[in-house]
Amino acid sequence: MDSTASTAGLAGEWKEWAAGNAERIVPLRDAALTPMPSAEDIESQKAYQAALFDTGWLSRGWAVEFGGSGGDAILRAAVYDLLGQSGFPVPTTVNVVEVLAPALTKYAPHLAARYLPKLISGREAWCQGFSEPDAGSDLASLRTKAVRDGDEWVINGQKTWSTRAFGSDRCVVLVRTGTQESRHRGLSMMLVDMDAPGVSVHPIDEMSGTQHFGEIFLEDVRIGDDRVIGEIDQGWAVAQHALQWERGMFGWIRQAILFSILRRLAAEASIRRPAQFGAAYQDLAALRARSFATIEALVAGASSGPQVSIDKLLLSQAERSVQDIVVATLPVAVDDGREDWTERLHDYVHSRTATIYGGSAEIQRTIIADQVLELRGVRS
Amino acid sequence: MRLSHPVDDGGYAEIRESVEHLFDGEGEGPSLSELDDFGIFDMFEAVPDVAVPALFEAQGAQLGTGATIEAFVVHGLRAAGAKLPPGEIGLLLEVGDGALGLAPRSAPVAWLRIRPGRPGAFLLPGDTPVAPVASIDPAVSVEKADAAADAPVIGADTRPECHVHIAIGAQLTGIAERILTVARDHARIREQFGRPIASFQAVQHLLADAAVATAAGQGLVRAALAELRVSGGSERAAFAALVGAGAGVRAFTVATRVGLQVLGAVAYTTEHEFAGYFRRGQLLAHVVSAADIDERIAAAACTAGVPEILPVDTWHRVAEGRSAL
Repeated sequence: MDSTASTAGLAGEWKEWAAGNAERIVPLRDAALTPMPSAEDIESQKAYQAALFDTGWLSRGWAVEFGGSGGDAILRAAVYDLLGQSGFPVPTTVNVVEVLAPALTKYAPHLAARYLPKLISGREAWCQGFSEPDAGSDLASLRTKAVRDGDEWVINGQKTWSTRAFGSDRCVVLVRTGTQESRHRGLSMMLVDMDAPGVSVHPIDEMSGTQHFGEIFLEDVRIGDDRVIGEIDQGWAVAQHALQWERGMFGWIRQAILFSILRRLAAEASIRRPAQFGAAYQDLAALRARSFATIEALVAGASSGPQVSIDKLLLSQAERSVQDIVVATLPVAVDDGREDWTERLHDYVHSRTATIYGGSAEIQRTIIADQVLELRGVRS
Repeated sequence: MRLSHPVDDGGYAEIRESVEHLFDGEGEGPSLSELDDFGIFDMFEAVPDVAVPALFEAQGAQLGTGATIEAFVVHGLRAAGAKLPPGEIGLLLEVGDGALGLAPRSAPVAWLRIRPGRPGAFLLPGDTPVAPVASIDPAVSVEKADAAADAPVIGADTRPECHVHIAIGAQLTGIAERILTVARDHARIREQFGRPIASFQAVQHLLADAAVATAAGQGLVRAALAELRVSGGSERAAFAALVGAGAGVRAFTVATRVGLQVLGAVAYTTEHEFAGYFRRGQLLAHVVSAADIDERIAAAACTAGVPEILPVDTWHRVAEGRSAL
């Protein structure tokens, strides 16, 4: 299906559908927006995702073989935009779908065929196990090991800052299969079931009031070769591919949601703080225009990873400036009696982390300096 | 240096190379008729999405002068069926309580006075009194017209300010990219503490910030062009163009802050090319009233219901147009 052709008329169709199905979808959306503990949150996100999938919205842009209705990521992006812009934020479980599904399709078609139908339809939620307590920005120093034993791999180690880990069904983990000195050349990507023997997971309480992150302990977890994503020792390439989508499509999903937030606040904020509102609007517009070009490049298979670091910095800036003006207009420190107080409180506190997650702002600047501005290798 | 993905550029590089020759010489730069002979109107017609940024980004990067903004405005008016006298047209851009002309020809057959926030343009006679006025940029002759015009409005269903805002946004973006390149090149060879300053993370991160702001400017100028192509003289197109101008101002502001810091005191001297970029950008930013552009964007955004630039339907039509090229 031609993706651009099928975006025509989408806005009108969505508007009509949302109006006619408000009774069904609004409670699911409201539940998904309410901050709650990790496992309950994942369940409400899955229910919301499944409803939007089953009614033919989130199925758009996925191949028919995976249970989708055809089209490509441009169509998905158009749907995410419509939902976000109109106050129906994309279920957060979709974020990880956009990070992992393209990598799975490219590097492990057998796993994509088996699991994508469940993942894209909200029947399963997955998480990523990349960061470790001692491997954050320096991801290539990670120590979780997978060792060959017969025809299986045995994984031992610890992952942390895994988004929505507690309550998720499976995890894509980046593990060391080479020596510690091999750095990024000795890493592999593997799929682990969260209920497999040896896996334990704990939610992390955050100052936003939720449990966005979890830590995962892997103790003698055994998997077969069929769970390897890409080639052994080639996991870095898979991770880089996934991160491009994370920094690209996630930025796109967020911009739509941030527009809707800014819109709700516009009348009040633009009068009380016009310069700040105008600046926040421009930060967001910059993210949107950039992100749009990135998605086109991702779909065309002509994206450049270092270029997506620009998107990530624009996202961090937009998250902060939009939430700054929300809070300047409607302070969140004390319950103001509005029904969205807990949501605003959470969103504001969470926005402070935008310069850390998905690769810190410092790492993005270094990538841009090294690879976009071509300063790598300048003698030091 | 490329601040975008390695996708097909639609002929941008080729057009940019060809338009760069327009700004090679000294003096006032190409006139409207010279730009016409060059084929700029055909390019605006056939491939606006690449020809417009290529022309104005080149002009910014080369500190070029000429009747380029005039050409883009005239193109927009003519495309909407407005009748303009043949010959050189001057442009007066309303700023504050007056109107400024940038590097106008000595004896235009007519002046167009562009009114921010309002449709159409006043068509004024060529002998409208204007007087030279000193500015921060001695390389550009600036003329000032005082009294508010009482003249027929042409192109009442167009928004010529779109063309001005996009042209200036793109020039500022071109200046920003040029400053970034100069500062980056300097940082590679300038040594302190026995090593190139580009090896210091503090310097790398400053340059990265300028790259991000410049890329944002490029993206929003192109988004404004897409809106202009799809929705012509609408409020939406005018708003997108204002945001494009704002993005140019932002790119210029960050790039000059970073550029001066990385280049150091040498950039403060008139010998260094930085001075030229700084002065030109300041002048262009003044012409789009940069001092309160954030507030104006806020007001316009609110009036229009906080529109997202490039909504899905526009996006669809842009993509369709692109594939038809």
